[in-house]
Amino acid sequence: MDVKENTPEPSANEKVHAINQTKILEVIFVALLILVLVAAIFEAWTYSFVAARPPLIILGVALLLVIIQARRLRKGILGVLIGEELKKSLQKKDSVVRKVAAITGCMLALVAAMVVAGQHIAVGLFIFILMYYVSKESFKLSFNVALGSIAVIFLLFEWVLDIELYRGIVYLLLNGYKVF
Amino acid sequence: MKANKNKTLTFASCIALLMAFFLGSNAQAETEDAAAFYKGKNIRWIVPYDPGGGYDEYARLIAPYFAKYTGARIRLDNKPGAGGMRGVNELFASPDDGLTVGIINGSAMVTNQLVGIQGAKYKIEEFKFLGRIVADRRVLAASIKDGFASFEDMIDAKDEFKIGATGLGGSTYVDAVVIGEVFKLRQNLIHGFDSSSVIRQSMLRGDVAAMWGSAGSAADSVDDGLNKVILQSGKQRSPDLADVPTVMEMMDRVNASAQDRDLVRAWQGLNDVGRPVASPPGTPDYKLAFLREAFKNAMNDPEFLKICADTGRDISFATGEEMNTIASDAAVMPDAVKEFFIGAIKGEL
Amino acid sequence: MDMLAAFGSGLSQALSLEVFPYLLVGSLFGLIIGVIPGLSGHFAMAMAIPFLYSMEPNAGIAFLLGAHATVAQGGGITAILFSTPGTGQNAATLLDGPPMRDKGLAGQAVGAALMSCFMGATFGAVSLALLLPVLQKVVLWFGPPEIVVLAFLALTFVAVLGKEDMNRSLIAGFLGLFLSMVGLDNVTNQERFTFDMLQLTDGLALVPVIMGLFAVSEITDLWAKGGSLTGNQVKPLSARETQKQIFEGIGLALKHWWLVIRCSFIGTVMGLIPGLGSAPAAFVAYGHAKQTSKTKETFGQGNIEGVIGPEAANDAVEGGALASTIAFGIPGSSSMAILLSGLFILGMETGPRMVSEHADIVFIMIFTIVIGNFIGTVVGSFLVNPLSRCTFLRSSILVPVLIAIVFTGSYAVNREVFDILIVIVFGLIGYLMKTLNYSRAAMLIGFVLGHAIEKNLYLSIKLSGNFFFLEPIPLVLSAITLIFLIYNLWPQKSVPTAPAQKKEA
Repeated sequence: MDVKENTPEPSANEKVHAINQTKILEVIFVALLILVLVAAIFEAWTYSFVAARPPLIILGVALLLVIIQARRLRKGILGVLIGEELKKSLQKKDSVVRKVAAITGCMLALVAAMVVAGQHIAVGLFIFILMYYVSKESFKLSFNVALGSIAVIFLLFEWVLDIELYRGIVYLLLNGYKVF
Repeated sequence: MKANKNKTLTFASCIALLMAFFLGSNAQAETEDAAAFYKGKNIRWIVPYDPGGGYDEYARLIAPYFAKYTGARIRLDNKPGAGGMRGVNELFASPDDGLTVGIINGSAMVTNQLVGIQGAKYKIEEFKFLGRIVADRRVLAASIKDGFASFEDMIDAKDEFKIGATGLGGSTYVDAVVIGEVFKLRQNLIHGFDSSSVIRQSMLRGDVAAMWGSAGSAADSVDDGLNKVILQSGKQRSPDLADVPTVMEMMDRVNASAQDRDLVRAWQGLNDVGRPVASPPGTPDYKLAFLREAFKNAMNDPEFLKICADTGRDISFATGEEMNTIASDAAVMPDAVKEFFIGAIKGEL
Repeated sequence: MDMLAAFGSGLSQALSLEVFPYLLVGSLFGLIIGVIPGLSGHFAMAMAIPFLYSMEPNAGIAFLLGAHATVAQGGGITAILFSTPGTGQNAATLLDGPPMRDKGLAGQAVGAALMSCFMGATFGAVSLALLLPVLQKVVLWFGPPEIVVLAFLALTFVAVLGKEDMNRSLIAGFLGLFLSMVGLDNVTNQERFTFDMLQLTDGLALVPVIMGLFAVSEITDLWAKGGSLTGNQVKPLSARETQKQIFEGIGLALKHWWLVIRCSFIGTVMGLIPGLGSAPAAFVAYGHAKQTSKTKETFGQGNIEGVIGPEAANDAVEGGALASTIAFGIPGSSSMAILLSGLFILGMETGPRMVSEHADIVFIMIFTIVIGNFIGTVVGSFLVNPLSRCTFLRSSILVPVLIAIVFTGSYAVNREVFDILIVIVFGLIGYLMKTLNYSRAAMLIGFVLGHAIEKNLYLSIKLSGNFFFLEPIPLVLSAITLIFLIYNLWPQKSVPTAPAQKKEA
């Protein structure tokens, strides 16, 4: 069980970049929050009075707090060019943003694959592709871990716990389920 | 490179094998002999509620006997959610090869359709009914702690009293609205409780005076002397509630109007749908006939009846054909009554 | 049946040959279910039901409760070792458990967690026993007004947890409250924020949300940073070292016995209240532990009290929940509802008569909880070694496998593919919150308590009028809440404008 090599100590420049990244991330986060909260308020407005009251109160307070946070952020990000920093983050080869985007994308792909091909196949493919193509592990290791995981999951969930895991649309359609 | 090609080939063949394994495992041959067809097969029985609820219990009680008369293995599949609708939707969309059945909350599903609720991906008249396990018996339970001793007391009450109900438009709610309307009760219907057990606790605290519910769920707390049933649905008094008047009796007492009687009749019709067992639309007739026969035998099996009597579980068997009539009749009612019901279910009353 | 005779009978039956094997199997089963992310006590009970049909009452009860008893222990192990809470109750352990692992003290953390669970469960069980005579009166004290105020008190723990960065924690908390309102409101039949999706009619399912917020976010973080779970600072622990640490951990839990008792008390009380669930109890206990600690600054960076508190509470909750379930046959939570039907299948009736006529069965329950937890502690400590080896694997292996297991576990709970989407979405949200120092714990508390507060507030006003909080118990509780808030918010330190360097609560 070897541990990956320590990455070298980040330079001062990189540290500043990292802090800026976090600030920018929060700006985006807060902006998204405001969008979501405002949209939710509009949605809740259409509800009947009794049902709308609690959400509107909660959303109102939340929006207020978020706006306060936004104002505090404004003070901290003066002098940081958002567009510049964002571009830098997306361009850097192994930047955090790219990695997070990649893994989230892979997870969504996993769900899509599960829906179509079923739990076991999708999981096997997911593990194999992540390990072999993305992390550049050896074929043997990737294959064994993928197969091993399918086996363990199958034994544990389907055999021991007797839960039927999702079979996938293809399987369901072939067996007469009216999926659509 | 050759090495890479070999690896990809191995991998691809493994995937192919896996797919073949999972896709091929349900091939069946058509036979005219249903008994031979069902022997040794797996029948999936969908229960639209969590394990341990009333529906689940009924399914578990009868499953072994159903297995006995079909020759197949029964596998219970709990699919709770959306007040039972998720399981019913699933049953409706299941394959019609005769290997899936489900128990459904008949009354609720009829009313859902009546109101045209969103999310109902089924049509109740298209289900192939195997039969009914039990009709809904609704009772009004009153709190012993400064509650009403009898229904007449409730009718004569001078002050407003509180009745608890669960969700708007749910069975406990509609019961209270209908009966409250017919008998002009001075009730303040407080709905919104999360479940019947929470209302029961409220009754014990004295926060509410009474609640509607199914006879089965009320029975437990009645035995403990905590609550008292003061009114029951049905045309005749049930043996275990011999001292409790029926709605019909009380209607005679107060000289109810023709419209009120229509209302109660419609209400009773809905209750009669009860808890049927059904198979998806399109199930072949010969398989359906076999399943109906097996269900009938299971429901009449002396051992099964004895267990039900011992555990205090109500049974009121109806055949599949009878269920068709009951279900379609339940949705038929005079326009004024229908309007009232829809209003009650939507909570506009 | 008089209490002493019931006590003796219960003990001898629990240890008898016809019951004990079932207790053993049940406890082991529960432990494994707890370790698997996504599967919880509710699930373990549901799985156990089919087996009950062939069991005798006393054996069946031992099996059922044994399974339920050890789930939180298994969940604690996964929470500490893999930053993945096995069950909702263990989410609070994430705050200080993984940091301890990162410091090379995983064994200690697990040892302390297991021991606190055992002590907490014992406290809960003993409370149940002592409460038996007055059970009914006590349970009836808690109606909608009391529940609102108590839930609100629990909610104010957001203030304690997020004291360093009040605004961010409050935002998280209110977001959690907002999320709890997704679903069908059964008072008005208004579908709120469901966008016509049947899968959202019952609201966002708790398990996927927790898995996303706490498990997938950590896994994403691991992927982004590379390396292994324990970071690169620490050398892998040898088996002997781990074993030694486990004993140290057990010792530490015993040393902090007074903290354990207080947190167990919190757990038991919150368990008595129907509808609150066990996750809030753990967080409230964490908040209390932090508040009363002499080393509060190190909370969040691997303070053992932050592990002991929640783990003691989440097992004590059981004793309380069982009390209210037995008293009237009114279940306090979904797993208790299943327990009730399990009892029904076994031919057992709950309610006042159970206490008066079958007190020995109640004692079997109590002993099952204690013995079951003991078994869990012993077996659990042996599980730690092999499992902790995995934490030293590199992320390229661990991340895909963990994701696969978490997704499968989250799917298995309700057999709904949509739940996995929830996991992914909340995984992203959780990662962002973790990076930006927004308290996920606050969001979870808001999410879990939101429904209870809204629903019971509505019922309180309907049943007792607008001034329901003037009744005795709510009044006292409200006073406590106010004092608590003022005490915590009084010396307002200047709040940092950028995400603070220290870890988020």
